[in-house]
Amino acid sequence: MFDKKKLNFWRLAFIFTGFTVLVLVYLWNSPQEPKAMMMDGSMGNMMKQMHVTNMTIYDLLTSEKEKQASMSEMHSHHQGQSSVIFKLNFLTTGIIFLLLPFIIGGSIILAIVWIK
Amino acid sequence: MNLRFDFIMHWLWAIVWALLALSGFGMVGAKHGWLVNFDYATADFVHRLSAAVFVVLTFISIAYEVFRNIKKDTKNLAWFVIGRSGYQLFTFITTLILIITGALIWICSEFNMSAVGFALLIHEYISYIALASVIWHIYKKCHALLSLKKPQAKPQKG
Repeated sequence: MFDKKKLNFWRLAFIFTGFTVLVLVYLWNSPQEPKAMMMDGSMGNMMKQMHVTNMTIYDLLTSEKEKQASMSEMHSHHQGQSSVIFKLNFLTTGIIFLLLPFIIGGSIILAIVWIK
Repeated sequence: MNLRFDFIMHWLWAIVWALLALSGFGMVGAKHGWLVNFDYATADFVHRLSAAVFVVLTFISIAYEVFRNIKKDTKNLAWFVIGRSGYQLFTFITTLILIITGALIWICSEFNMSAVGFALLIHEYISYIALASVIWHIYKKCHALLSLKKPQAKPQKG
């Protein structure tokens, strides 16, 4: 009836449920600030409404140049705020975009080898 | 206990994945903000940092698998995160989608919000599928840890 081999799973599920209930009780009234209505949906759904609806392939491949000037001003302001975070962002961006071509290349090699 | 490469990779992957899941789902929307105590800035920071480690682990796994294929090593790595079939293949595909869409979100937010919206939508829904699959995976494989506890029979002499 009850599989003893699965006991560890149910223990884990019980611990996670306990943690979830504790966090929800602790944050019962949070956040204190008035909630933004637009954040009721998930980020993906919000993006879908704001940017993906009526989007064309052309939009995916072209850049919004007029926005760049104001964005660069904002970024330079943020970079001046915290140099450690900026350096860490530079490092993580470097790691990701340096390794990404190798990951894609390796995946293509593995796909060819595995399909053979 | 003899620690194997695939076992270490499995648990490193699990830790980084858990960090990514917690910080990522916390940022999905206000409904899930309690996961990160509504501290979206820290969640964003942890998510980006963990993403870099995740990419490094993925790179090591792929490089190891390619190297194994070159050496024609057909030994079954039960704990390894990527493989040619079953859940290992599923993890490999979802990981690639998450990394590529994550990179698009990372870089395109500078100049193309349409691409960010498109990538974010895929990133979010693949994450839900991956989370459901991880719960199923833990349920199916939880007996594997029990077998690690059992003392192995000593080889008989003579």
